[in-house]
Amino acid sequence: MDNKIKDLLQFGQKILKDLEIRYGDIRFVHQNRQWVKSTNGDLESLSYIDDLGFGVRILEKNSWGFSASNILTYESVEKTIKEAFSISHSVGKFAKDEIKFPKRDAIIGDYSTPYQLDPFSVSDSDKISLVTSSSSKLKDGKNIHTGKCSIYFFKADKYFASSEGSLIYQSTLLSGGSMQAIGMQNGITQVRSYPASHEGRPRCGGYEIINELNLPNNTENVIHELNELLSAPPCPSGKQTVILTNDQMVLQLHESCGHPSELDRVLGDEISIAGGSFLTINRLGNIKYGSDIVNIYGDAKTDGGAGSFGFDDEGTPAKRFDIVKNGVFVGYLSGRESSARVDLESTGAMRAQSWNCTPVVRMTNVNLAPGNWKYDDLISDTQDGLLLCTNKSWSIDDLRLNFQFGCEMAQEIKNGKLGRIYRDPIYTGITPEFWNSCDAICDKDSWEMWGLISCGKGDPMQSMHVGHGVAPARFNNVQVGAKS
Amino acid sequence: MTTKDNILEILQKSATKNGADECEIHLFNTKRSLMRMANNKIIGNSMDENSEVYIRLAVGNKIGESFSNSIEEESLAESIKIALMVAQNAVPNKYYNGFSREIIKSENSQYSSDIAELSQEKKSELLKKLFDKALSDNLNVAGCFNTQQSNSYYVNSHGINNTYSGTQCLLNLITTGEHLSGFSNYFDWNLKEFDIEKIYNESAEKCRFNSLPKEIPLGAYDVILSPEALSLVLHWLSMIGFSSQSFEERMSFLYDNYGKMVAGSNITIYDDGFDTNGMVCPFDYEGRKKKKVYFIKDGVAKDFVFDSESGIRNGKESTGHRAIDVDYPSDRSAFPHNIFFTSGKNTIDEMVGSVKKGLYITRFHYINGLLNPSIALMTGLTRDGTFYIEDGKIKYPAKNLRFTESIVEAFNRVRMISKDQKKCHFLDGKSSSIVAPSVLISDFQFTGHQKE
Repeated sequence: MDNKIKDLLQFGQKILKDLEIRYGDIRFVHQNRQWVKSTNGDLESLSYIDDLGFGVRILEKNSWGFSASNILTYESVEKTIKEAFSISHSVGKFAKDEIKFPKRDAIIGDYSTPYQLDPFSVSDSDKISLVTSSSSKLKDGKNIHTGKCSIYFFKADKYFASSEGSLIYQSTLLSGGSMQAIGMQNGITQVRSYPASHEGRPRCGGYEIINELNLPNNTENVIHELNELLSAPPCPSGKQTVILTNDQMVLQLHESCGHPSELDRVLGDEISIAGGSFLTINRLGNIKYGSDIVNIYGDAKTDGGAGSFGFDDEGTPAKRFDIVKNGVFVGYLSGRESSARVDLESTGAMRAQSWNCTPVVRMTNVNLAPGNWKYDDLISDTQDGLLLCTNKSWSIDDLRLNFQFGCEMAQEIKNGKLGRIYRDPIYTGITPEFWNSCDAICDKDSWEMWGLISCGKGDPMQSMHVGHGVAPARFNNVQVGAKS
Repeated sequence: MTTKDNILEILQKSATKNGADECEIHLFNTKRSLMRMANNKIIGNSMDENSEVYIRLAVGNKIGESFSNSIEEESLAESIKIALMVAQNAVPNKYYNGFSREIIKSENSQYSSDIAELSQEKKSELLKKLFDKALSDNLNVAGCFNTQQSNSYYVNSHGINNTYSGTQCLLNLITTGEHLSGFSNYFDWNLKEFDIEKIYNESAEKCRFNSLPKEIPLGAYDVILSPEALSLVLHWLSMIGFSSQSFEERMSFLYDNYGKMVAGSNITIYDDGFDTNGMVCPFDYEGRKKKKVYFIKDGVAKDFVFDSESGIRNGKESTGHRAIDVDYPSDRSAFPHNIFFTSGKNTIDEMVGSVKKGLYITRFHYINGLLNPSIALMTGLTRDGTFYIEDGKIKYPAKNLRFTESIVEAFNRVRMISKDQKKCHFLDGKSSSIVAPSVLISDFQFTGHQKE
């Protein structure tokens, strides 16, 4: 922990406590990131990003004010707090409605992501060698013209204090990596990724995550699968039984459950860009979101989750809470203000991309609970269907109902056996119809923690890394192909 | 107080006294004033100032780079130290041929003191009038009212220093009634045409139909895309069709089609960082002058944008479009920021009047262009103002629909293009825009409904 920042934090907290305000917080964030990327054996980037600053949020009577600065001096802290107060005060003149923000006791704590190997202690030359050799091997594969490999590490040290007396220090560490091959044959272009698209499978942890990926030894597999796709027929259309593998289930869960359960969307706060939600307040506890075997929960304490932390960005301790229980929608992702508006308790999901962004309700880890099917048994039990792998495209409407996903690969399932490969599969559906058609979820042997590093929300847009624990699952009567 | 000259002096000093053979620094400094609204209230209100500092240096032909957000001398010195370390650890870069030697003067400043001096209090006053009006109309307003001042500086060890300053104002309004919603906005570098009542009325009128929205059968329809709707399509095309990455990965529909007809002869799309009908952005992250680049000209496939490295890799010159997302610097590519779709001759009334059976689309939601980039196959949904047209008249509002369409093929079926264009917001915080008209496209495919 940086003592200078700690001093500035406590200095700021004292000013906030002395102000005549309902609430105020000050949040210093120091982010260190590294990206190492190679394309076709060439080093494309070896980047270090250092970002440091602080933001102040004030609620004076009935309007919020926020100000932020990248200048770390006592004068700057004082000036920024005054500015946040002035913003809140000047807008407050026009505010008519009460903002509910119940008081709570001070929260004192600290948290650090557990990890085995500090990625910033691994030499750059080792990292360069890993990505360049992997991308080079891909490029040398049959029919492949582009091979890419990247690894990344996000470290964030956060210092939080509030006028309620809260004082929290956290240090989170996220690591991940991926490869992608692009090839062409007879005018057809295909892409194949490992372990997934969207920059892979980010998790909280250290360089051990990169070692587990075993990138160089998976290049042959990627090349083989890409060539299968290049000679594969297009995926047939029609109503089908589909099994989603984990690297597609991530996006399904994210778009059709994670986002609609964000309470600020439900309350209309995100209409401008992200949209609303069909999971309106009157549906809490009432709507059959999925079949009886579907259980989805939020949990910022999941080991290794990309959305794991100790405390959210308004100091609420990490929580586990149900979102869908036995198919019924029962809970929201929320913050202190949004939950108070509907007489609920915060589920600790307020997160900000950086020090100069106001926290908004975000996914933490939104997980699909494992079922009780073994993966091999699920395949054997499926008479006629498709295995859909690795997300390629994603689109969903502003209420989170009508979705359409494209995948990199589909594999036929016939009489319980995996058969031929298809390219360019697309499937579409309506969220509650889709999840109510779920009749099997694989068990904890197939359950894995996955994630996304850049979920976009807010106006202006903020990016956030989120986690999703997933297992393969089967859905029936799904429209495969674009037309519903 | 840090003035522009101070900053230049600090940056120049750092660029020259650091032991590298060459050094360049790109600084993008922004001062933002943001306001979010929902349910006829201001729900978020913030101000901040930040810097994106991108340092790149060469030791021989090994390149090092680093990113930070401070221009304090100590911080710059630390960033340069990191960049030097990176250069030492890097492998020789085959595609490096030196940093820019271009002095770039932009004659056209897009800086408005009206925007720079627009206080949060004044903005709140304007919005309060809007909320009162919406309440009396039984409507609900949401959106954002963001203003920004930005300064770009590029300096390097050859004594080059290029600067550019600008302002922006973005007011997005979504007005919601019991069953309908409408969208309108204002986006420009000044407040000359800013009329909040007019902007409100444009979105509110979309909520005032006497009939409920109806579900339209799926299939192919003539569509009139408003400039906002077309701009989101062009946003995706800029990534999958016009960028250097889309060229190098051979994913673009333009790839291998240079000189061939790919769209109707009435279609011309280009990028021009100096055209004052859009937001001006005279130089890129490498300090190179933005060149005007045609992607499609009179329907014929033309060029892509390149930066210095992708240019050398592919035997092309840099077009001055190096773009870096500081949060995800591995996603680098030359990328167009100042896109234009040329206008036509028609009025909206003429376009509506010529439609036997079709839809007017105000806005799209969540377009995705990755279904099949080689034919620009995209999907997305309508929102905030979709209307059914029959026999030349707007008949009633339509429930939202999903389209799945090859935009390349659609651009071969553009029957009419409006003579008016609109400057549309493109990338948050950057000196970027898409200037687009309305277009009437035949047989646009709708493949799904938004329904429960």
